[in-house]
Amino acid sequence: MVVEQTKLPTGVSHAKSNSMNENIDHTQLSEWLNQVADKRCKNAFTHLFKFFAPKIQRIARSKFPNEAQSHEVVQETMSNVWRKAHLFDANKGAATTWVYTVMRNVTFDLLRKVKSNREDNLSDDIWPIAEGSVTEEQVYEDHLESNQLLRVIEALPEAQQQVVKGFYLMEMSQEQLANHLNLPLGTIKSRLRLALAKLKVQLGEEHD
Amino acid sequence: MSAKTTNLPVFPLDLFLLPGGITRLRIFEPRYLKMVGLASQLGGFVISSNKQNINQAYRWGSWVEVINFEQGKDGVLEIDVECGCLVKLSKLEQDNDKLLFADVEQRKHWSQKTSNTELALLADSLKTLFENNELLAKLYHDQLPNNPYWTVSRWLELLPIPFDVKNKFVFDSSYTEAKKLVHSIISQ
Repeated sequence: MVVEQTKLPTGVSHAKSNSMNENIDHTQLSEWLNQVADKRCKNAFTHLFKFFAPKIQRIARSKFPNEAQSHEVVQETMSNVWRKAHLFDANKGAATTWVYTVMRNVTFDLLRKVKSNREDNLSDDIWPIAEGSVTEEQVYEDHLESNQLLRVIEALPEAQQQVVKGFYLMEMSQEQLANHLNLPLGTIKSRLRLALAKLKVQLGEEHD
Repeated sequence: MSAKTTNLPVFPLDLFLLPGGITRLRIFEPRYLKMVGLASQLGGFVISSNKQNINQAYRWGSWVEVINFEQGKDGVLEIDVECGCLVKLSKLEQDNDKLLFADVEQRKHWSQKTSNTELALLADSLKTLFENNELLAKLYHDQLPNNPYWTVSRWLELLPIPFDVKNKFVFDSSYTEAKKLVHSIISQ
């Protein structure tokens, strides 16, 4: 698992980081990385942190909608640098390339995590009703295009939306409804589906 | 209804609440604590869901007033709010604390009507539900008006159907359709 990260540096990103930062003291950075690797030198790590943290923060900020997630990228990247410094090999590429690759992997992991959370949420929301399934995405898209304020609200961290949901909504669950009516859950589900389908037909007849 | 507009803070929440509906909210974010503070001077705030339809005429919300508050076991502020009327939102703007404000204009809705017609089955079932649910019983003080519009409104709020469908009952659908829907789920 550790090896994967060190093999990822590419020529492209190397060239890019070099051309963007011509006055970087690569020798010094490599030396600090080696000191961290060999001697677990906290002083060297502090230097590395001071050099990289603001840069990582800035890049991450452009990839994530909120500050907290970009901080997480900085934290995660720098702790990986501390743990994996021994895998850095100055002969294979610059220290900056190596650190940015670690950052890239952290970013991917985090984005993947955010994405899968969102999918969980959606599937929870739209449960078995086919006709209800399209709308949420449409609404989301519309907000993105037409109303910046709404976009801000939509972009609330998933965790916070979850909290809001769990705490506030007084709506019954399907299980509670089944209990209340003393009917099997399956019956409730098909009743709901049927009722909503019927409603759709009624509305279609009267409003189209 | 008067066409008078008022500027009120907005609580964005996917909560479907019709006039007469009461719910408990837990407020912990600073900007919404500020909102509760403002609400007592301004005469309430607006709960408005982000899950509204693109095609609908305007963004709507529930104008609520704080009717009770206490501190939860975990120290979080809990407020009970009651919806007085539905409103049309316009000119949404965020202040420096990222609290949303909007101009609101009252809208009439069927849930505000009254009638003496009995809806025995729906009313009885709702009564049992309220009796067996501690929070609901507390919020409504065991007082269930004998009003079919009220009964159907509460059922609509509580039933586990997508917000999008409930949303229809603010715009397209009438009381009759709402009653039919609730009826077909509760009794068959």
